[in-house]
Amino acid sequence: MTTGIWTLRSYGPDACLVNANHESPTERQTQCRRLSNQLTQNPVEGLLETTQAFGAILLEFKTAMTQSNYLELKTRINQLEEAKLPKTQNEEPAVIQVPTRYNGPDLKRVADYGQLTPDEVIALHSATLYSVEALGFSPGFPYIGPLDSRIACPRKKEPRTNVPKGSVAIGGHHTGIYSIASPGGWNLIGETNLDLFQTKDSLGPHEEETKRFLLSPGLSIQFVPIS
Amino acid sequence: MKAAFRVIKPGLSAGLQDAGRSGWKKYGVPPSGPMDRVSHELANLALNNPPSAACYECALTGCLLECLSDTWVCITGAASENSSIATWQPVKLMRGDHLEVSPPRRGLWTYIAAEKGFAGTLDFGSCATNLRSQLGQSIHASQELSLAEGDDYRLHPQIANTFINPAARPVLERPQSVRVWPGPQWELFSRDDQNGFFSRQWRVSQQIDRTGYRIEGMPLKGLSEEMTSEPNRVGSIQVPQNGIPIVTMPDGPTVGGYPKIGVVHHDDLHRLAQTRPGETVDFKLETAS
Repeated sequence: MTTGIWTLRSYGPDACLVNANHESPTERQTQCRRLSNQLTQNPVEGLLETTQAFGAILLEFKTAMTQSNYLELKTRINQLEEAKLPKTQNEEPAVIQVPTRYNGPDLKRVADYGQLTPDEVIALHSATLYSVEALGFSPGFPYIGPLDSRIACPRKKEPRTNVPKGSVAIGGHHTGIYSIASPGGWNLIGETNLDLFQTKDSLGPHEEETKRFLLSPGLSIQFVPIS
Repeated sequence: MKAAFRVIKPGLSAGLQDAGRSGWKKYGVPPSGPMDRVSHELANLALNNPPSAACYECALTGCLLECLSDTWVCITGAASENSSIATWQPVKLMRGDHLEVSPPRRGLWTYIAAEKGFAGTLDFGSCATNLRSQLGQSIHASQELSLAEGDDYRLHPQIANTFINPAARPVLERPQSVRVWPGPQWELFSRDDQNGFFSRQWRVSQQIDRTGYRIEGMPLKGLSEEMTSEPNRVGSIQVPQNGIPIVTMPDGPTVGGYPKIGVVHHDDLHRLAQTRPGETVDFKLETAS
């Protein structure tokens, strides 16, 4: 089903994938965040989980989706299209600054691949105001884009067995930050002290676990070089 | 909390599994939960536990636990009849007893339920072990495990005579038939791939774990164009460029960049999970009625 700016595709009887069709990735993000916020604040009956990533939203229901689930969803989407919804509080994404030491072992590889100098890679990487397109791979790991195509670089053929937490990296057309130490195949260009995923022990007694995550889909990111 | 068990030999991919974590996928936290949710639930029901109580789960090799305080347990899933106690029925263990699960001949995943359920380190409301994401209770040799509080807990009055009806147990005989719904990119696959996926004989490969199962056979052609990554779900069947399908399992990634030809039926995923490397699987197309 396609309704102008949204496409709904079946993903098994108990789920559907809602894609924003706008040509601008930033606009897709904004639309998805609005729909996602709307569905989180006022859920459709039986909705179990809302996963926003890369300009799409996966809606998973407790049981098979009913006709009325579909109609309700369509109504919500139409409301959004007609901008009848009040603007939500998080409409303007906050900008998170990421202090980055550009000292990664793959900085030269990325530079060579793009026929640039390492300094040019750093300048390009830190020049853009990015957005968090998705969290995935590890808890709190952000896929950040859109990356300047001159510094896009394929993942390494042999992934490292242990990439340190806080590594700033480039994988294909995204940049990301390792939120926990893990194996990984992205090109490491730097590191940050920013904690993207806190342990549960670091939370206060009544703090919600969402506080463990620094980032959420749709936030803006700016890398700031430090020495 | 008083420890109820000490792990002597954890077994392969050992962990605690409860119902898992729902609502956290948007932060990159997979749902986790049991690979075989039917065996998991039956083990709990036999002890009058809540159906989602945490069980000990391990694969293929069996395991060895030492009992530190008297408790009822129930072993289900893939479990050899040569284990130290009877399977698929409640058994009372006494302090000092060794609970040994022998390597199963059929199936992969074994479940041990204990009175009131196991307790473990919680992340996002669940103690489900997720090694890849470093969440939930970690398990290693000499690890001590406690049981949940369960103040309202009552044993079945007839617990000593309870057993799980064989008809309710997951069928571990081969070949396994697994129903599949069309996935979001179904229509982009060629007619040959659509037919081939449901007519070819597939085998579970050696490359399997709690994040995903690779399925071997004559490769599909797949899609030539790369697609934008999108949200992924448990049971989805991704087809990478090499044409070898991968089924996402409970610890699998929350986003994926490969086209999805289908989604395994929720009620059949546990049987695919119990299929060993080299064993065959037949996929059957399910369509909306």
